[in-house]
Amino acid sequence: MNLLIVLASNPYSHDFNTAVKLATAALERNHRLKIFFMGNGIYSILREEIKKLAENGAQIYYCAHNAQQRKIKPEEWAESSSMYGLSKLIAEADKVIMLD
Amino acid sequence: MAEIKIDRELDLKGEVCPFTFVKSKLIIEQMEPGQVLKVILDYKPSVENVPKSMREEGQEVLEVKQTGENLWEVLIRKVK
Repeated sequence: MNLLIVLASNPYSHDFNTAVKLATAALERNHRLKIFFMGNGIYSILREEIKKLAENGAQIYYCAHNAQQRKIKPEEWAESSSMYGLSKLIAEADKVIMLD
Repeated sequence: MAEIKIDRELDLKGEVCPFTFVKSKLIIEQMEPGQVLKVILDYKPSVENVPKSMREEGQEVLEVKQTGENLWEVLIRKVK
């Protein structure tokens, strides 16, 4: 399955833990996983857990505008994207889980 | 390289995502295939993502050029 998780909650929220656990479970079951970070969810991209998910095969995207607003420069393994990019990812995904 | 003929110019200084892409797309829709749009941007995230989104839409990005400290030009040829 092609799964997309959209995270807009800050990394100190229960949503962050939910996202990490769901993502880990999805990768263990060999689903194709993409995670899109936006709003205050952008701060999560700095967390070690997300880097680990990327290393394990999750494709990581972020809203470049929201990152710029928060003066965050994500690492190379995360792909700069936009609301247009998100609309494309949603159309491609079999399931979308929105956490905000 | 031959000079590229610009058919329309859109000044988006002061605009941010997603309006930079939306306004560019609205102009592209009014143009004929083969014509070239020059978009002027002063917002870095848009410089990354306007060309990316235009390619996704099937348009041809001819050039992304920095023209000032915080100023860029993107040339887009309408394909469809």
